[in-house]
Amino acid sequence: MFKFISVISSILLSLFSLHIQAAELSVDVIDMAGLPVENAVVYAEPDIKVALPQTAAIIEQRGKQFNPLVSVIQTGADVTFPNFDSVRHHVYSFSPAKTFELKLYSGVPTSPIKFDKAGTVVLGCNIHDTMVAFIQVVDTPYFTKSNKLGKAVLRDLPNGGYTLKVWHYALAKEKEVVEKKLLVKESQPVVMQFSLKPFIIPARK
Amino acid sequence: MKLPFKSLQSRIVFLFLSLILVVQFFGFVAIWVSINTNARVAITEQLGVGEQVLRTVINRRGENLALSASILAADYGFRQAIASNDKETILSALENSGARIESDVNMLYSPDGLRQVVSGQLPETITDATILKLIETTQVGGESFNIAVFRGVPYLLVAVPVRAPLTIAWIITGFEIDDTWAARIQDVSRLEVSFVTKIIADHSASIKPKWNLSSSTMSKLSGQESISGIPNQWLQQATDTQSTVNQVFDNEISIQGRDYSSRYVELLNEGDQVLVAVLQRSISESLAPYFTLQLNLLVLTILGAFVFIAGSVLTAKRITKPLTELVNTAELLEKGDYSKPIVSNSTDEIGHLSRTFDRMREAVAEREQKISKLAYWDELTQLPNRAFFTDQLVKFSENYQENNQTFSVLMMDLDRFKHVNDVLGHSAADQLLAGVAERLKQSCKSELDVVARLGGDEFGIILANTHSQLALDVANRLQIALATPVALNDSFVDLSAGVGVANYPEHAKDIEVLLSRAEIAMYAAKNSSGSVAVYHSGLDVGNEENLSLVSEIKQAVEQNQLCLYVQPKIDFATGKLLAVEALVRWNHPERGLIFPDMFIPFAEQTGHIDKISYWMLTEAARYAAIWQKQGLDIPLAVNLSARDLIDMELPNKLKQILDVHQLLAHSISLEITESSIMDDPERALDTVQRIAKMGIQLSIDDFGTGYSSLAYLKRLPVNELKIDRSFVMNIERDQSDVTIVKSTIELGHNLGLKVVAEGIENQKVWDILKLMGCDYGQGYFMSKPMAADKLIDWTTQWAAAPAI
Repeated sequence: MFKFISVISSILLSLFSLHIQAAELSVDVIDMAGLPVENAVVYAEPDIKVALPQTAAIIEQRGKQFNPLVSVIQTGADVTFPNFDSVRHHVYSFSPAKTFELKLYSGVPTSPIKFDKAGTVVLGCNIHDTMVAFIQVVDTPYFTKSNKLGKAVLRDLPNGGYTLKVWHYALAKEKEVVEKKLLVKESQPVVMQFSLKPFIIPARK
Repeated sequence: MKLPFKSLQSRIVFLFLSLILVVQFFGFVAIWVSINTNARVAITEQLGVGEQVLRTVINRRGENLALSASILAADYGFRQAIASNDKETILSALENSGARIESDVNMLYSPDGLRQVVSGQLPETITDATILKLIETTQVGGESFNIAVFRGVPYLLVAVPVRAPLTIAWIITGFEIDDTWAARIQDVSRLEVSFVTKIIADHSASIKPKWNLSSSTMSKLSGQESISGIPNQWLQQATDTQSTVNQVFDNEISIQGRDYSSRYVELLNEGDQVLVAVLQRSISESLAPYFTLQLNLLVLTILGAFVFIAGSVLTAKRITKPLTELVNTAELLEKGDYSKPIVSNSTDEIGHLSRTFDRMREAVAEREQKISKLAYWDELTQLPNRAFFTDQLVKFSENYQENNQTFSVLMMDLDRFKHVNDVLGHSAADQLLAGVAERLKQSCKSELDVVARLGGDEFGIILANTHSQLALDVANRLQIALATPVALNDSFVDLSAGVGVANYPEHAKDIEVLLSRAEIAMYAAKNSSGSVAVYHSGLDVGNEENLSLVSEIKQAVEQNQLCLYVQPKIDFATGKLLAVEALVRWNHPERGLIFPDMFIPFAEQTGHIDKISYWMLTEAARYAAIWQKQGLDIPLAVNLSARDLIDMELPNKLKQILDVHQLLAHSISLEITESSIMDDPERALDTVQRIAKMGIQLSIDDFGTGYSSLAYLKRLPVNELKIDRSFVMNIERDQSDVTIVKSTIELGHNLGLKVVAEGIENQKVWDILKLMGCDYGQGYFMSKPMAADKLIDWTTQWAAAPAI
């Protein structure tokens, strides 16, 4: 049984407080109706490329669901897919950013998957159609996700010029990332606006 | 109600038959109505079922499509091929999947609505817009199947998303709704199925939309106003209303003369796209099974009607047969046939009627018998009467027409009956008649013969199957039977009668004429010396030839056409001429000489005999005077008839005639027969005695042929007896004739009379008679009758050379 959530309105993203000094960028993500948007990936790419630590991430399968729904990782990071269900899963991705598959397995796979290309990766399970998860691979160490209140906070940003980007799986134009150039000196708010397309996504519990 | 039937039987049959037919008719109608109603209800149910089948088929096939597409969409390899944009693999996968369910449309669309891959022969008419709408519908409402029409061709389409796990493509697959669908639905529902689409060429309202039969189990006929016989108006009505889904309505239409119950199921009506399924059921086909039932009913009805006819005819016969018999019997009664009894054993009213009728028949028959007996019976003689006799004659004549059986009529009249009546009284006369009747009955042995009393002393006999000689024999037998005297009041009465015979059809073919001729013969018999006479034309005044003679007799006397002949009487002793008998001949201007036999009887019947007698007397006197002057003084004997004898003036007339010629009484003598006196003996005797007193000699002529009483003879003042020639002619052969003649001669002599023999034809007879002592002879042997003029010459000749 499928369950769908339909998002049919456009989302207004607004950045309204930037704190350069504290090197902290606080971003509020809301839709067009002014309602907060959860699970939006918010990241800032510095104009001057910096060497960045690669962190690892874990996307677990529990109760025939991927968890978390949305992950954001830095390019080159490894992701492990531990299976906590009693049934086996067949995790795959046909996304151009990273195409892979983990054929039927249980427990923790032997090796993690390395995501070395920026972009959006959509994860699915070949056995269970309802399982879906998104990984946004970004080329910056400054990234986060909006919470249920639509709030996202980027911390410890050195002063300088950045391109602030916001991605959501329900974006009207899938490959377009809402972005805004800004100069970080102290904390400041940023407002950005773009439309979304109708989107069908399997229901989550 | 007045029925046009005359007979009770047909009325009963008609009534019974009408009743059964009316009952059967209403039964038939009721059954027919019920069948029709039931059939239509059944058809409606069938149409409902058909509609369910239609929808089920669409759903099934839609689900099949969806299932098939879903299987493909779930295939990992297929999804991989889509993810890697491997179009060749995608195409083959689509084809493979499509081949499994034989779908007509197999396509792949990108999530953003672009046609990616098309398998097989995609109908060019399929538009992206329709597909995108289908995708959208599916997105919103979930997995579904849609009907779409592309340029009049209907399709059942399904859109299935390919997810990885988000939707990466849409599989579009579909069937063309073609004839196989119609056939499939028909297989299950037994209905005619048609799919009709609408083609809108132009959106302007002025141009009527065109209807297109996309598939059908019916023969595909295109018409201006209808499609496969389905009128456009109903299709229009099925789709006109703004109701969005599945409008359904029923009606009945006629296609090529067959009635169909039709259900219109609107399957799609969105803008240009219109699809109507028409389900049809032939009403006549639905009714067909009932026709057998009705046919059976009809046969039963007809059989029933026949049974009823037979039954009612029998019943009617039972009622009317006795009636018909009564009618027949009544008709027989009408004709006078009472012989057929009516037998009825039934106890009902008709039986009662029959028995009553039969009693009536018997009563009527009895009464009629009495009446007819009175009408046809003579109580005195216990013989049938004249009426019966005449009826029988008619029957005999009819029998002759049929069987050619001749018969004879004998008519008999008693002689001197009046005398008996006068002398012995009525009572004795009645007894006499009864006695005669008894003898007649005994004489006629045959059952078929009819003896009747015709009136007075007249009797009639019809002899069946006879001829002239037989009739004569019977007549003679009658005479013999009557010859025995009848005993009356201690005295005996001699009987004699004249019998006339006429034969049918020899003497007459008409009954009246036959009777009158028998009567004529009878009178002839009575007048002549014989007692039996068979009719011949010479007797009959009514005969044409004789009739003219009768009318001419008077003329003959007046014009002096008669002439006097004489025949000599010769004395046996001396051989000398002693007297002559005067005879008459008629010298008819055309027929020549006519003998007296031919006209004297008529003269007697018509009353002219007195004129002839007067002429004879006058002529005889004239010759007597002439001959006396010439020295021949012999008497001339003149014959007188019965009529002359009752003429009271006769003596005076005689005296006058003698005086005219200055003659003495002995110059004329008179000859009379026994029977001429017997008609009215008193007056005749009176006349005769007066004549005798005048001195005129008298002779009894034809003596021996009548049955006169000697008592009369004794009283008659006669001088002479003339023995009838019938006794004389056979005297040389017949001993009895010898005895008669001898006795007669002796009788005559004993009474003091002279005896004359007539009919002497030869010497031998002459000699015998001479020996017997007969006084005078007359006959051809001595002389034939001659004209009176020639007598003088003859006497001279005779004197010179007598023949004896």
